[in-house]
Amino acid sequence: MSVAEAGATIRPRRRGAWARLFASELGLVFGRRRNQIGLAVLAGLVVMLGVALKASSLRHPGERGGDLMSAVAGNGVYLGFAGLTIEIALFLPLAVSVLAGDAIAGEANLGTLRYLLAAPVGRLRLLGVKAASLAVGALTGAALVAVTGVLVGTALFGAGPLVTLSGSRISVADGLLRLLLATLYVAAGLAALGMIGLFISTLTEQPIAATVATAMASTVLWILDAVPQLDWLHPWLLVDRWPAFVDLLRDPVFPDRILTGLWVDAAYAAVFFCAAWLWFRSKDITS
Amino acid sequence: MSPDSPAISSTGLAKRFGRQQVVADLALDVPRGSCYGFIGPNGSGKTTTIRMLLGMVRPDAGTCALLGEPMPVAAAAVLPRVGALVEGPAFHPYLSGLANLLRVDAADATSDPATARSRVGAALDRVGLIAAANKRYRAYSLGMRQRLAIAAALLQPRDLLVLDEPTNGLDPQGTREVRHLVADLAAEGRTIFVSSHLLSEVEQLCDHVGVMREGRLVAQGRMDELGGLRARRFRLQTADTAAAHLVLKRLGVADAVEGVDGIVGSLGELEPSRIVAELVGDGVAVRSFAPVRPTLEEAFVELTGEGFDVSG
Amino acid sequence: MLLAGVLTVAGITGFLARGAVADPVLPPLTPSELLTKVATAKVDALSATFEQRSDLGLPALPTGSLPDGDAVQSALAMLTGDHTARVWLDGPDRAKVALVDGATETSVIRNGDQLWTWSSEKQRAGHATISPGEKPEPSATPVSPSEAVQRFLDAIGPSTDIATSGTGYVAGRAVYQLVLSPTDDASLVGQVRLSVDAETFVPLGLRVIADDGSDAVSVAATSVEYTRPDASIFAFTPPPGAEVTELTAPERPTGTPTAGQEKKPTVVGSGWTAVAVTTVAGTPDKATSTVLESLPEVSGSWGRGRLVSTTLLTVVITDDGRVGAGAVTPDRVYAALAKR
Repeated sequence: MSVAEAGATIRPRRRGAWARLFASELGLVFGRRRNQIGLAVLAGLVVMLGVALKASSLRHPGERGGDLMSAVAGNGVYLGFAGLTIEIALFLPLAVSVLAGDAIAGEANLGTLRYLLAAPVGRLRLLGVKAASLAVGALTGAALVAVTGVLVGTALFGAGPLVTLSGSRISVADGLLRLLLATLYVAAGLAALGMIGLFISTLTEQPIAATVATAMASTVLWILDAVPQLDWLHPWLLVDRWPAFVDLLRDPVFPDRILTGLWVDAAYAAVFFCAAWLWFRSKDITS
Repeated sequence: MSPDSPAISSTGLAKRFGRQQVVADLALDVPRGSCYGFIGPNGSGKTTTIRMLLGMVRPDAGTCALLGEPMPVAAAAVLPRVGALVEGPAFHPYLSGLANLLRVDAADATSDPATARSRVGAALDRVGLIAAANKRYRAYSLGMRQRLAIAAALLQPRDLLVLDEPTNGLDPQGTREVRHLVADLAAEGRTIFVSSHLLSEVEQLCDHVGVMREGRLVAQGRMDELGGLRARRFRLQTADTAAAHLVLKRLGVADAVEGVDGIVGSLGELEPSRIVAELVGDGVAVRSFAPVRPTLEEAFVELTGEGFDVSG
Repeated sequence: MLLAGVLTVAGITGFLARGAVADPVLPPLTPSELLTKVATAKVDALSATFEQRSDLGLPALPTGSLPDGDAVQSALAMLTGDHTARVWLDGPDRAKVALVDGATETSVIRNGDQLWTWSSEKQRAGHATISPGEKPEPSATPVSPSEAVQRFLDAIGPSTDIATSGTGYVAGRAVYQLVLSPTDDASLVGQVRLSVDAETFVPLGLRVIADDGSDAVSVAATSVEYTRPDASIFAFTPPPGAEVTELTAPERPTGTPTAGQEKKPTVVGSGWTAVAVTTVAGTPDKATSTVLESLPEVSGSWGRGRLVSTTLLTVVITDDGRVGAGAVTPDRVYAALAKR
């Protein structure tokens, strides 16, 4: 039987198998209408913020406080930082929670997980690709907020040298470089949250439940971080140093909190990715 | 690894979900090149068995092997040679059938991205979905979805196809199409392991059969051997009833009785050809003579002592 | 998997590294030798980050009722919670201290004869020119450093146990620890521990440990480098749009808000257990009353009043306008108030 004989040849594993599945995963994530709408909401909030600040600056010309929001009125590039500031606590974590909740639980819920496993996708490869796509999702969200901020801010307020928190001035190029670093830093934190979500996503077959649990985890972390009586716990909380990206706006840049923050992000990401793997590697797929 | 090893084998396979023992002490033996019907009522543990074979569910006890390779250890090496349809189709509803198959193909680390489009095209063609390739999956009918799942199993040349209830939920037309497809695939020499709760389907398609009941394999073997568990019978149609009875009596057939459509009796150790030769030699005008195999349902009732629930 | 495991381990060890290293072995120094070295230490340049943690156990005050004065608010803010400051030094006349809490920055910059203050929150800069004679040079000290140290030790000796106690690491630098322990049990201060860089003899950390063993205040460097900071750090030009005020004195007055005419406080006792007693003239305004009324009421032979009891400080404000304060238990303050 010719077909059976042809089939009997064992095909080797191909290089780039990870990349191909990763590309497929990105296509799935970014091709999904719901996710596109989510990104539009993230960008829309920045536009709203810019318009609101413009309206306020027209009503109270010359009035200026020292926070990031007020700084936008003086320089549009600041809207990128301001956008990150207002979205870092809720909207960006929520967006990551949606993606993370979907990662494994979404496939389990649709039943597509069993066809991926039968294909066969290695479970570690699947988890790794999901984790990588979450990191890309986190970066996309943060970058979209920053870029929208710069574009909308520049259109509404114009651009020019930025005044740092230290009172010095830096060029637009320097400012944009710092915004890029801030975006990467915020994305790293969000990606770590994504790993928590990925772990939760392996526990259930309900993507909504996994999303809600992840969003709640992030909210609980923020709340714990705001309780002064728990200050001994704060350095261990994932979100504690997330707002430290503003340290990039000092002159010279104050890297201490950001570097510690990156360590915390990495520790959370590693712990929860390992937990996800330990759970998922031997999980019975019954959906 | 040897080509002589069975396509599927298992020993002592067992799985418990909570308090329920879903599969117990299962010893499957599916020969290469066979079309193996895995029958049993709904809830008899067929799907769980298939999930264990494919490495999706970890057995509590026992071992299983696909194409001679131990599962789930060798999953990465052996599953690319196995096409599977597990518990109905499942795809991303907002992707087209084509995009869904490309995604499944991307999941297989051994598949060649350069040939992906042509292989997906061929698979869609094979199941008659070329025209609907770019339609979103959510717009597919149940039959189309089922065929898309079969196409996913056909993305690569496979040595073994595991088809779990391939006609479940299909209308008669869809059922006929899928059965034809499976029969064609079997004719090409692949080993096919098809689970079903429909006896007639297995009877039509398969040459081997395993019967599941409450998580246990109550019978397994060649279809004709399984039929032979009951005494083999024959049916003789003739005008010379009296002469025929004399000959049969002489040959030692004690239970020959005249029914509505002829004389029916047990063959025992007799060769059918010898009976015919004796009848003709005695000048009995034989209009027709046929050995009668009991239906699978009769065999099932005999094996399990109860009727087969065909409702599901 | 493996990579993730390695990262986890690396992350956790990185986190714990500071506490996990064995104490360094350093040549022993007496307290007097150590203090002399501190006094004579010559540091040309330095860039450091300090973190302050305070847990004074202040009673919760009704929010919004605090006086408006900037100074009071910022003093309270400094006393409570955690703060991070960046410090740069370059020679004797260039220095910058920047408080980098949250998304704000408050700094004082001295660059030669130019003094600037900056608050990003208020977008306000202050400026002053320091005349050269105003700040006495260290060499103008009438006594030698070692003599001064000896005088200091003599002065605190009767009330204090002074010891060099072990070594440690602060900001990755080996340090000597100098421990001052009040001998009087009534003191709320249990210990003051000073950490001194073993190479440069720059103090890198200070911990005030309360009588109950808790860390009341701790200031410690988290990073320190003895390299010359970039000159641009000391160059300050007020950004456009900022409000610039000319400071009348080289340093802004940071005293208490206008509290009327206060008598010079009388001091009862000495050393660690001294209690200052003073009288505040006039009736308290409404806001102050609200705050006062939220405090626990106490009374005794000395009269009646309100008690502020923190881990390090006890303050009693009597209804007739006297204030007794000291780093002692309330009993000692009552006793001091009873003396009149």
